[in-house]
Amino acid sequence: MPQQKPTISSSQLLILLLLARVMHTMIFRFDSFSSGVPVMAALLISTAVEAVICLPAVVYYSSGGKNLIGELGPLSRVAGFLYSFYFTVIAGGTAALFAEFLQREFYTSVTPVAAIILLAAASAYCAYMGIEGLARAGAVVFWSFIGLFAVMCIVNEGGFNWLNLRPLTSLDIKSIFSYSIESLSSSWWIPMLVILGEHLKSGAFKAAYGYLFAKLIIIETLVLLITIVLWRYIGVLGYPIYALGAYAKSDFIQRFDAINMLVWAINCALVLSLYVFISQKPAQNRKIGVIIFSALFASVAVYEFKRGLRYNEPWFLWFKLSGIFLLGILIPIAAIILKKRKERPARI
Amino acid sequence: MKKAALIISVIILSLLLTSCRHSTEVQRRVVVHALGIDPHEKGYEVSYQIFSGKAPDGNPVDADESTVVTLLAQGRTLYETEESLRLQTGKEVFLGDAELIVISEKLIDTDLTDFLQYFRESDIYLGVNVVYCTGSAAETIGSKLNQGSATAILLRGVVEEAIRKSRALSARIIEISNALEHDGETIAAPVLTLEKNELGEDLTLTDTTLGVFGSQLISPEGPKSKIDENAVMGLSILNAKAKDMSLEVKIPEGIASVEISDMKIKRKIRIRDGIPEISVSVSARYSAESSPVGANEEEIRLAAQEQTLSLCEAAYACRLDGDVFQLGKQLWKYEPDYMMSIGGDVGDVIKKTTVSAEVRFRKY
Amino acid sequence: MQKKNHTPLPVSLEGSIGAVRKAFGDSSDLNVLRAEISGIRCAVLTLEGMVSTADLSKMLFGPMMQYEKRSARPSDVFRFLSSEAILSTESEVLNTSEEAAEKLCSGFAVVFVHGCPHGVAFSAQGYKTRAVEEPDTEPNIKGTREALNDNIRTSMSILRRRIKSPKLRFELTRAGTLSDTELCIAYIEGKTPRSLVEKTRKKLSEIPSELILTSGTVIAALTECKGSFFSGVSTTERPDVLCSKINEGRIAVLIDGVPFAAIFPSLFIENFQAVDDYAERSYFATYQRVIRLATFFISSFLPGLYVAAAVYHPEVLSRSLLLNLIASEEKTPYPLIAEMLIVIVMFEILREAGIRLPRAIGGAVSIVGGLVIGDAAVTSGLISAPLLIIIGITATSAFVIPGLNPQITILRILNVILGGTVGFFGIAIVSLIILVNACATDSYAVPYTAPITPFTLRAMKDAIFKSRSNASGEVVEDLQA
Repeated sequence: MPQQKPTISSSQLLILLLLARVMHTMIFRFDSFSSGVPVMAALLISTAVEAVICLPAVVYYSSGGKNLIGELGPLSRVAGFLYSFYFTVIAGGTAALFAEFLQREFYTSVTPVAAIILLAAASAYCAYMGIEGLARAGAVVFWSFIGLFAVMCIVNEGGFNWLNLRPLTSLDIKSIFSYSIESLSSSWWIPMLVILGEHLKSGAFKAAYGYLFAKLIIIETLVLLITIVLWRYIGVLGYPIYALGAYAKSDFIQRFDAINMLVWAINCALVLSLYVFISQKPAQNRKIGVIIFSALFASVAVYEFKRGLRYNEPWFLWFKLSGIFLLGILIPIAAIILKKRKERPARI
Repeated sequence: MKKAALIISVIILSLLLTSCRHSTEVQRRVVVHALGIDPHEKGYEVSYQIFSGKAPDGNPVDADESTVVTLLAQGRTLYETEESLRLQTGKEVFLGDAELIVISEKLIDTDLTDFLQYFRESDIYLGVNVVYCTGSAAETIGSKLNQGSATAILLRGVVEEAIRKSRALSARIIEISNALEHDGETIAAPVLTLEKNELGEDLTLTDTTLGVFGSQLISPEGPKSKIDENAVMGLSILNAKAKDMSLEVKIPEGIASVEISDMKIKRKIRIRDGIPEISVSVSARYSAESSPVGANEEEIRLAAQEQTLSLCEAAYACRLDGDVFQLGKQLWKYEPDYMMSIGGDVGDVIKKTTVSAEVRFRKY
Repeated sequence: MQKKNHTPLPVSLEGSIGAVRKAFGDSSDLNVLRAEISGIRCAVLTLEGMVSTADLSKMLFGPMMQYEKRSARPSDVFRFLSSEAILSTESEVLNTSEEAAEKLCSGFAVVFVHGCPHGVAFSAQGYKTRAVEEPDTEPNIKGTREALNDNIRTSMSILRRRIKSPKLRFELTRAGTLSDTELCIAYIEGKTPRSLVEKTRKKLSEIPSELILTSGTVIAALTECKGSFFSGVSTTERPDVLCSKINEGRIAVLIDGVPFAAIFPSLFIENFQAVDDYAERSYFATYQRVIRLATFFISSFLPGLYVAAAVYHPEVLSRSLLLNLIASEEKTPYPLIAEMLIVIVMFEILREAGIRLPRAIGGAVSIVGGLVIGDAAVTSGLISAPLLIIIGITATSAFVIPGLNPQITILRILNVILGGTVGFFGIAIVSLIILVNACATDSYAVPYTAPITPFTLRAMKDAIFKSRSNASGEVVEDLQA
């Protein structure tokens, strides 16, 4: 059921971007967690940087731009494929990490390769349904996640140990820097904004800065809770949101691990659908596009999984950062310049 | 639509046919309620208190927590004992429902972190309490008490009540792991004690009772001294964990029972002459549950305050066994420069640390 | 629509009768009554059982026989019948045998006059129809006891009685190349967007079916999203519901011969609203809606979640439930997923039998079902008792929202299969696919999942939370994307 003129609101885009970020946090493993405060400080710094580097994309769409990639003229097709490549790799990495999570925590229910295949099939179908369907479903998934998060916090058995919130010292500078870079490398929401901005009715500014604010609140709250409730045990449990659920218990639902996974899996498939939707943009036929790009990201995911490559490892950092620099900053700047040039004769 | 149905069918069929799943029917699981770890010539002997879904005659049983049997399994490691249990029962071992882990005091010299590794890798809930017991863990788990069999629920209840009344400090897996492996703190693990009673001719009662009558201090370097209830109560005050307490206070007229509740404990730390000084102020409500004839309210209050101070004094002696006051954490939080100057190690500083306490009770 | 060949009526009476007979292929239910009016030969043609003989004799035969004119010519008689006399509420001059056949099929009496190449059709419908009865499929406590009728005109009058305003518009049209069924588009002028009415007209005129015997044919033609799991077109047999919906700017299509009207655009949330809500206090109506919403999730997901939790994620289940489950599953011979599928299929068989069997025997099905499933299956150890409780809760929940029964049934089975195969992960995949499908469904530019997502505050006042006043206003315009 592809729609003719799919448009989404700024709040829908904000939620989609948040879900992608939450997905990244879900599958991010805290193998070495020294202290929560440097992580929280690093998040603040990276958010401030993101607020600056997203400006070109925001300015383009706020000034009435409708098709950022299209502004590049003959190069738009090449740029389109660059985005496709970038998001196929990101989708592959996300699926591989999710498969690893399933293997670590739920090895009895589904094998990683079967999980990747199922995720690819589901995301192909959902991406084919179009951005409006994804955006509307995103709102439901987001509020389900927030609801689950709140329930897990309420029934959490751990007490708050505020002593874990140590003040920053000179020893933390190095870790703040590395955390900031790591956090910045997860900012592929800017290239996402570049592509999805063309479906936006209005309010690119609201979507971008609303996202940054909401992300800051959600992730900072999460890190704060981990720090004062779980402390360094997070290194044992690995996955932050999952860890929070691992310490939650109620009489009705004994443990929240699997419930957590249920919501994660829904979110994972939705976010992968979004990546597939972005990747298939240069394809002429959406049906064929989603099938090809789903198959591609599934292959990347299986390859990464089998070879033990993970996109949250240092070697991948530069790929993600350079992608953000090129696709999230340079291309929007180029598009603004070209748009201004086109508009100039009209003014004269 | 037909194509979609076909694709869905192919995916489901492929999942079913490629054996990519490891499902375990629920009746093929053995649900463990509690674990008791004893030493054995092979390594360990673990008593698993499990739910028995079938009576010996093959008929179904009442599905409640008291329908339990205790199975013993031996092995060099806890992984091996679990494997042994699996072989004995022919079922998957499910530890996700375990309520308590009881370790025999005979294993006090065994590094607790070896067990922690297993607990973390198994399905055991990270909030499960780990306790020591006097004598055999198998005996503790399989004992018959006046209030019924020592089921996991009952044992957990005994431990939790002791914690609630500040007679023990909680020692959950996550707390032990954080304290011993990351913060270098000394923890006080509750010790369950089975007591044999003299019952005479009355055979309607069993001859054993169970309770938490002390704790075992364990530091990252290994086991330390065993402390009594008074020291534990003092520790729970100095660590700002005490909420309620029951005290038996001595006054000239006799002995009065006092309930302390709603305890508010404030801790402050400062460095004086290069030595940390912890000041603790305790405020709480008290009520005299029973008092001797002629006893004065004020007299009871002062005596209760005095006794609380003496508990803190008893706990202060524990500093020789390691960082029992979360000193390291307090220094990192409030005196980070001092902490960096000593290289983050409070091992020597703790012994010199002074503690001053102020207790103020008001009538409930 | 097939193109029709039009055969002009011949001048002779026998020729006209013969042309109509030929059109009907000498069908036995075609009655021809010959008579003479002022010496001119005439014939009255009717179809057996389609006209009221009493009305005919009063309205038509009486005045016809009393008509007397000296040296009357056929054209005089024809003029008398077609324009001078008022013989019926509706009459029409016919020029071809096809027109005559069509009118006969609609319950008209057709009169031919010898010497005139025309006929006159008089409305004299008198076929037996069901009386206005209580709504069987949508019973309620405090609402009307009247349901829509098989007869489209009766249904129209039922609606008109409730909305006594000229703004209520009925547009009659026909569909079905063979059945030539009358359809009626009902809407309120000024509340329903014009584009929606035009779109509906166009869609109804393009229905390719030969016969329209159920609302399903019309719904299929009106549905915009062909791959949608849920339908953006709903049905009702309640006139009060219908009035309330068209008052919100929706369109209803009444179908002759079907006591259900199709309403669109229709929203997911409307499945959880009932007429009685408007007779209750707001807080209680809201509570009831939340319960109905919960029943959707219970009936669709509970069996799948149960199987997945028991087989793959037992840590989710509370301890006593898990122990109960283990104890009861000890005796059963089949894996839990197979057991669940067996019970679901058995339940569906019983449900189907309950619907199809005559009411007198229907009770026996419940007895057999209760005995076979409820007692024997558990006693014999074929099925465990907790599983039966789960199915009992599931089935009862499904009855609360009959409008979503097909979707719930399929979702339930999919969840059990995937939940039993890959645990919660499978249920997550099914849930997302269905969610995105529902969210991508647009019914005439109104998102099916509105006003929940996309969120519309104004419309939410009568979605889950019932507003104090009865719902009214241009909801469709509010929600149109």
